[in-house]
Amino acid sequence: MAVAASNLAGLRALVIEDESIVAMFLQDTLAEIGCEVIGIASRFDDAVEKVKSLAFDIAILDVNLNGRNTFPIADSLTERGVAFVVATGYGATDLPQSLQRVPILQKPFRQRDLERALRAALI
Amino acid sequence: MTKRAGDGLFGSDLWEAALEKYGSATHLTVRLFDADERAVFGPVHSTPLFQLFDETGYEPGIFAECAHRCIAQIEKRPAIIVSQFHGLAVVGASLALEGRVVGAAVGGYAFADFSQVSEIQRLARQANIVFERLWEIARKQPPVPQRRLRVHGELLQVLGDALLREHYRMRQYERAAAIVHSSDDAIVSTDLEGVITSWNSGAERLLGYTAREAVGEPVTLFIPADRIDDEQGIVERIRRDEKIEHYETVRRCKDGRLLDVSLTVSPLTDAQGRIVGASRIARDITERKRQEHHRELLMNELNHRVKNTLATVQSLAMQTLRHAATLAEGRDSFEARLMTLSKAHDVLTREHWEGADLNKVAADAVAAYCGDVQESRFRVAGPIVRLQPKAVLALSMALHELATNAMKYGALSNTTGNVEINWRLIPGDPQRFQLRWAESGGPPVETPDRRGFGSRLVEQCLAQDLAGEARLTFARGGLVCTIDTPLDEIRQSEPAERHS
Repeated sequence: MAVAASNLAGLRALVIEDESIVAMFLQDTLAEIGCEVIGIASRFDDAVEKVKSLAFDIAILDVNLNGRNTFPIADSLTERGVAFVVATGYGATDLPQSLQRVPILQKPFRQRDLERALRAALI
Repeated sequence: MTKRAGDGLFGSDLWEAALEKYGSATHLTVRLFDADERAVFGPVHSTPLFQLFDETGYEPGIFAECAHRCIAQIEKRPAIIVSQFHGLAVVGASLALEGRVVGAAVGGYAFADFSQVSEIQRLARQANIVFERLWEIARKQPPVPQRRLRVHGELLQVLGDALLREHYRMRQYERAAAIVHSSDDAIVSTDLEGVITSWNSGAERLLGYTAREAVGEPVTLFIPADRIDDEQGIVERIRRDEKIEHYETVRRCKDGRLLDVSLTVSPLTDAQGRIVGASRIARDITERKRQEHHRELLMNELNHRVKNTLATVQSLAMQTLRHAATLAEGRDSFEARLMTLSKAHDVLTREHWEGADLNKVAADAVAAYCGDVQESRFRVAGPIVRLQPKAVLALSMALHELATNAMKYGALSNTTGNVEINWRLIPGDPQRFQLRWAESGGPPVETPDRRGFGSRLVEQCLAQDLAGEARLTFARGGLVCTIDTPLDEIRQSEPAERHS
């Protein structure tokens, strides 16, 4: 598994998540995997801003931020060709066509689920 | 009280004699036809009421039609035809002699008197007797032999039954018509071409067209373009004598609005059982659909919330286990945090998730420790601020961490230390909120070299949830925590401000 883990080591990650305690979990888990968390955004506008201005290799995107869905942010990440995974508390079937091919993480998830999703996104 | 007409064959005295002998047949009129459907006797009326029944009116046609059907029967058994016309029952009986149909007797009876079964039966009996007698007269036969009487005995039974059935059918029809008329549901009938033949007041209310506007129009009048194909399917099934139940679809009102409706369509048949059209009942289900949609939204929300809560608990567990020196300490610590989270949810549930007052949140945080520590060691003060749910949860968790830390290492770990929780609103644009937790009188404070979970929860999570700043200062006299955030980020909005 050391070989597999090294694929992800050093990757810069942007966390977009509105539940702060869950964001902390993501931050720690990503650190365990070897990623560097370069930012955490919990509000929609802040997320849009960070996506635009920060340099990162992968994003973990919560599908819903305080009641507002983040499909527009997903679209802009896709447009920019940036890898991302979607984290959601909703069922996977509720996602629109445009997100059907993005790796989905259903909350709560395990560290290895996160690793698998990150790798799938980077392909 | 009898009026007679007839040809030379039948004298009025004979008719009177027949009536006298067999009782008075009230509200009765009779004609006899021979096998070639020629009227050979009558019409004979029992009351002047039946003066309507003359050569120029409808009735001869009805009688002739009835006679035709009786005579056209290929079975040898007497046929009874009962049909309804303007409140009269027209009853025909084929007359058979030695197995051959030799004619028909047709009588008209007023329905008005048919409120009692016995009345109907009595009239049927009289009719039978009259028919028999008239036939005798017409054929100038001697009294009808026994075997023919037997035939006529059957006639009696069948006539009575037929009249009864017709009577109740008409009553049901009247009742059904009344129900349709007064129903709130839209009830529309169409013929097989899809032309509207009836339109009740429920349909007027639902779809906006009056009966006058709708009857005669094709049913596509109120079907939106994208549902016209469905209509074809409905017609096909009706032709196959299939009933369609609770079919959900969309219809269009006169004013252009679209409605969600549930349709029940049944075939309409004539007296012979042929399908002649369809009866359509439409029920407005817009409200039900709206509620279903709303419920689905709520279910999704609920699932989302539950999953997020589980993820939060997962995070708390992981953090706690990571920092716990022993398993027992870890268990206690995790349990305490879980209970804090749970109690914070209780506060929100009590307030129907419309936020909670900061005084209450602070008081609850303090109360959790008042078993171990005197209440007077806490001083809580500040203006009324109604917090939104997210802020309630975040602050509850943070206050728990601060209090736990104070109990273990800070101002509450000895007997003299105090905690002050104050908050204020700073006017400006935007208005700001500041809260301060200040410990004093406790043991000397040392800045820790490692940040525990509590510190992170306050400085990272709380700050993030309140969209502001949160700082821990390990002042010599005691720990100080300051929170600074725009008031609008934490305050519960008024109902008018909130979007649905």
